[in-house]
Amino acid sequence: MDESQLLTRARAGDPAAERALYDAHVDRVYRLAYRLAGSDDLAQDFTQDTFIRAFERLKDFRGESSFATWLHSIAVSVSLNGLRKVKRLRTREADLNDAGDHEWSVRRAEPDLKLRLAQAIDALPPGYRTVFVMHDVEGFTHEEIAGALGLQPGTSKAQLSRARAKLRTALADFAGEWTA
Amino acid sequence: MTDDNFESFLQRTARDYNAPPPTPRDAMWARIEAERRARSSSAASQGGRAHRWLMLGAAIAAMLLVGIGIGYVLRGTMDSRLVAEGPSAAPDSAGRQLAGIGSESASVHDSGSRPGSRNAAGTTDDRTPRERAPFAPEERLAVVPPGSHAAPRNAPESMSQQGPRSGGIGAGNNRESAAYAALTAEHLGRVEMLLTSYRAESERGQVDPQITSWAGDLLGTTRLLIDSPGSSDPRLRKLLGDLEIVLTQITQLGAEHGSKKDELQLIDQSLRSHDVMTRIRGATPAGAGALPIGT
Repeated sequence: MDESQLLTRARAGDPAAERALYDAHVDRVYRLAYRLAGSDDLAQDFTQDTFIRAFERLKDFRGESSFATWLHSIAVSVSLNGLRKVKRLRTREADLNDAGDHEWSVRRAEPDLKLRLAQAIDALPPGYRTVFVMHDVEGFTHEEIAGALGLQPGTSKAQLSRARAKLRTALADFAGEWTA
Repeated sequence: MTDDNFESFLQRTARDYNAPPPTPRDAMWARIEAERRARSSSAASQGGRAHRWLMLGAAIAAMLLVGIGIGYVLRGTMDSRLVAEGPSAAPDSAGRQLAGIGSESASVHDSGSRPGSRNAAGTTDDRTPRERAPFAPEERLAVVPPGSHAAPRNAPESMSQQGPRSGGIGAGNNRESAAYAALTAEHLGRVEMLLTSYRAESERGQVDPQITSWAGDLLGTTRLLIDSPGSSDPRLRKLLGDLEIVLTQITQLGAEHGSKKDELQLIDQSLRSHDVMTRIRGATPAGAGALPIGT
């Protein structure tokens, strides 16, 4: 059964079709959510919310893009909004507790390349970070990224380029790693 | 070195950035299904609850309309009786009813000084004011305690002892009293339903705003019944007075943000100390306040 048939049956409320669509797409959605969130709990929350919203709004999906692109746009939106809320909460907690044991504090103490890279990616502006994670980490194409984020493919390419430039600056201490 | 080297280095190194574990498919699917079921049942119960309250509100509005209708019918019947009774009595009585004047002394004074105290035949009308106007305003508008007689001061002793509800004079009053009793019984039935719902809600520590709104509606009717000339039974007036206090307390829950535990305890205390529920049940005939099916 192809995806359009599954979509037709899922729109009619067929639970088996919904499960089939879920099985077909959940890995990529979960991986993307995890890459953006860096936490299993958050990634699971974002993935569940993505599919709940997708099934609720399935009647609004007109097939102008692929179902995967439409689903990823929901996933990115859910994840970024969720992360904003989490960031606000963590900032409040940090203000209250003045805790110095945050993850990034630990990372700063480690001069390891991968940790420095993780810090640098975390520090990217959200738009750049999302494009970088989708393209360089998860292997999305610029067309897929553009469809999911509502951008032109050229904008996606430009943001990726700027993200890489920032990372290159941030990792200047490790230049020997890629020039060798 | 070229950008290509950096890009390939970046892609290679970044693979470990927030590396995801295997996808917990089944666990997430179970939670998705549970969440969707909870949402759909919540939406259904909210719709059902709104429908139930809507029907209840409609039933209360219908009851009030029926009460107003009964009042109009009774007034029309009595006015036509007054016209049939005699031309000298009718304008005075009917005029008073509409104007809301109803003191006993005023009635006596008016009847003595008015030129219309002569009847149509031109003879002096030596009947007592009560005989001239059988549905005298004081009977309609004044709250008459039981056992007392609203006869004029200058009425003969026998008439005074006869009381307002004897013979043909009492027929209109009986009908009025019956209408009042029916409305009161209906109202008490509604209040009992409200208080039962309230108690169920208050046990959870939170009262639905629709209950406080409903209490506000019933509070208005309670005050009308207290102020009605038909509320001559002191026990009933006391009960209505106690209900007014309880309903006011419940209504004020809605004005405060969130139902405070202390307020709920005070209301429960009022209900218990005045034995309100038992008194309502004692004053309500079986079946009063029953709603149409579907409410």
